[in-house]
Amino acid sequence: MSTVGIDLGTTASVVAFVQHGVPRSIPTDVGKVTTPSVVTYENGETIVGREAIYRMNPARSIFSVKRFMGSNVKFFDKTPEEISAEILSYIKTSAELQLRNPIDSAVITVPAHFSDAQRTATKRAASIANIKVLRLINEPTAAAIAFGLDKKKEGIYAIYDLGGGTFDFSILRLMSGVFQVIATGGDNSLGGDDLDSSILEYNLKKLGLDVGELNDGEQMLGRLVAKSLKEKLGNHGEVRKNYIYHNKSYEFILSQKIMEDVAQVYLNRTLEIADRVFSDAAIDPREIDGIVAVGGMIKMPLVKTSVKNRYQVEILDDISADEAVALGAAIHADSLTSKSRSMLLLDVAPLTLGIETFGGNVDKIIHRNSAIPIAQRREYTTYQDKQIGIKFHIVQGERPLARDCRSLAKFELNGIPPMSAGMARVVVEFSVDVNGILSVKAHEKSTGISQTVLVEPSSGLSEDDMRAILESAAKNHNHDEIEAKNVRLRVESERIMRFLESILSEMSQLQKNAVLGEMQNLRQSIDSENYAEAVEYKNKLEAISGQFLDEIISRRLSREMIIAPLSAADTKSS
Amino acid sequence: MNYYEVFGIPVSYRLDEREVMQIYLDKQRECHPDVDDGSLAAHSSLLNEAYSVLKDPVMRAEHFLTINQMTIAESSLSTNDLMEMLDARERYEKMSLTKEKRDFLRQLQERVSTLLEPLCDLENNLQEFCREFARARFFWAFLDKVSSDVYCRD
Repeated sequence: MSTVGIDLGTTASVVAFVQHGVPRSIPTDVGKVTTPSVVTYENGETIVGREAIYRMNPARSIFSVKRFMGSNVKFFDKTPEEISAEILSYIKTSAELQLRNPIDSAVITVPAHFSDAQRTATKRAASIANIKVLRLINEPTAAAIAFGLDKKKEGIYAIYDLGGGTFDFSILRLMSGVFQVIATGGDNSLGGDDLDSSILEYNLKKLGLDVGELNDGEQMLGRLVAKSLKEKLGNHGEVRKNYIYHNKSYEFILSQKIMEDVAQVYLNRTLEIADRVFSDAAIDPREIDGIVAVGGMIKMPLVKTSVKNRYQVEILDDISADEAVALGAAIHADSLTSKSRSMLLLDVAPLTLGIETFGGNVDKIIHRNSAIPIAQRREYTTYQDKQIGIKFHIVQGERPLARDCRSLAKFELNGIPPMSAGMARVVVEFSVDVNGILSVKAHEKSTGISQTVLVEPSSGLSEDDMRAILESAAKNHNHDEIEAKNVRLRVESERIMRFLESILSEMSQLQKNAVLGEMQNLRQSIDSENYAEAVEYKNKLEAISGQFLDEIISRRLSREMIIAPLSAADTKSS
Repeated sequence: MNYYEVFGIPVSYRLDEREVMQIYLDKQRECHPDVDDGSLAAHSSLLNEAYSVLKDPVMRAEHFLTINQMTIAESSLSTNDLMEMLDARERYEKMSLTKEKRDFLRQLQERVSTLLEPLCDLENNLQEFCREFARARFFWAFLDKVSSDVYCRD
């Protein structure tokens, strides 16, 4: 059984594993270590990753489902937890094939600013995918672990983590194996996705089109074109790409100047958040030893420059922007399973937790940036004679009024014996565990009546739904291990070969020959049940096709053929 | 709950911050749920609670006084203090720019630090300690309000 670290990202996910003391990412999607967090449902099949982008269709595809974690929305009758679980299952299976060993548990990362509901939803997604969560850890903290252990650094560092959908900024003290978070802040809906939308809007406006006129499919495609422009820009002066709309070809442009204009508002927001975190930590930016930059957006030179200009400190970007978080999670997972005491991770609760009091104010019980685990108690009493119950409303957030905060749960402590107002003594205890998840207990002192509240996020799944899903997941995993391993290798190999066959016509002759050659080898080794060899050929096939697959997907986005099925939402693509 | 006892150090307002941090880390290495099987989680939580009080000069002063069974009275504020506060509030309410508010917050932080400084030398004179702390706390309460205002501005 193996234990891994998983970065379940908004736009891409990564699995990493510690082997002989060294963390490394595992190729999980056609030979690449990043798997796009995209799911496409087609003909009863669930497709994840690059193939899901290739087969994308607004009526069947979900991008950036992480943005909806902990909410009630459903896509094609599936909750965000279930869709996230599809991504987790996919990367788990791929990683298992690589490791030749089943994975039973993982440290999964979440944005530091994730709320209680979002954390619980992430845990549920993992249990649907049959992964035991050893810990949820915060993404910037995981990046700090990867950075700190790799570079053997000590001192005070900030982590600037700008990903596809979320932004986090944390300040940590690093010393002899201790990673102590001093303060953290962030925004759960601020990332590369927003920039893609802005680039799309900018171009549409310039062409005299309005984003409101586009249907879902046209918008999805537009954002992908914008995203690929963003990724291509780098240090080029200008890049262009075709966008087809109503059978007419338009040209989208992205220059350094446009990028600066469009990105400014988002970058300013990240810097405002960072300012607040410095203030919370009571640390002057000049006192820190450096800012470690991670997340997909860091690959844009503009992001680094603007952070550097603001704080005038060294920007450390020599760890992989895409992999750092997963590597840190893997290191932590390894340290947890070995019960090693050489490493100590001290994280904090990102948001204030409190109770609504009379008049709608919030009584803050656990303050943001409190080290976790933490428990805090507060005493309340009755305000009417013979009052036998007290209602509590638990909220999360920094605003002074409860209605401006996120509501987590409501409960009532009943059975208080009738007494005069102010005589009852009700003690409410808030505990936040090491995963950043809250539980609440209440008891009346004189009578000992008590109640424990599990703060369950309102989710589309009922208890029964959840049990049914878990049971069926368990059933599916109860095969004989070796047999299961080989069946999965077969299934996965068939899947990848089917996909590559379907896009043969888009490859150059050279690529086609290489792919067909490896496919023949793979098929032969599977037919002769030589599974050890099959793994080798499968890896080789993926490594070869991985080299040009992104280019094929990107070309496809600029072509007309995808438009026809898109505008007629449900029809199957050719 | 006596947090000094949790840390095994004598009750004193003046503390060696580095020493307290070292004790905190050493103890967490033993009982943090990551290194322990979880049975000491409650103690790990208590350490966090104690450390958050001991490292904070205002919370520590309050705790120090509670242990010494002393309470602070606002009546010990001088007219000068009240006037200064009135003036500060007035200036703050007129501010509209975030940058202005941030600078104001920084000044206020410095003011509170200055007020807290003499406390270290007043441990043996609890009456005087209370008086000086009442002043610091008065400005600190305003600081707390301003800092959450600035934080929640959006």
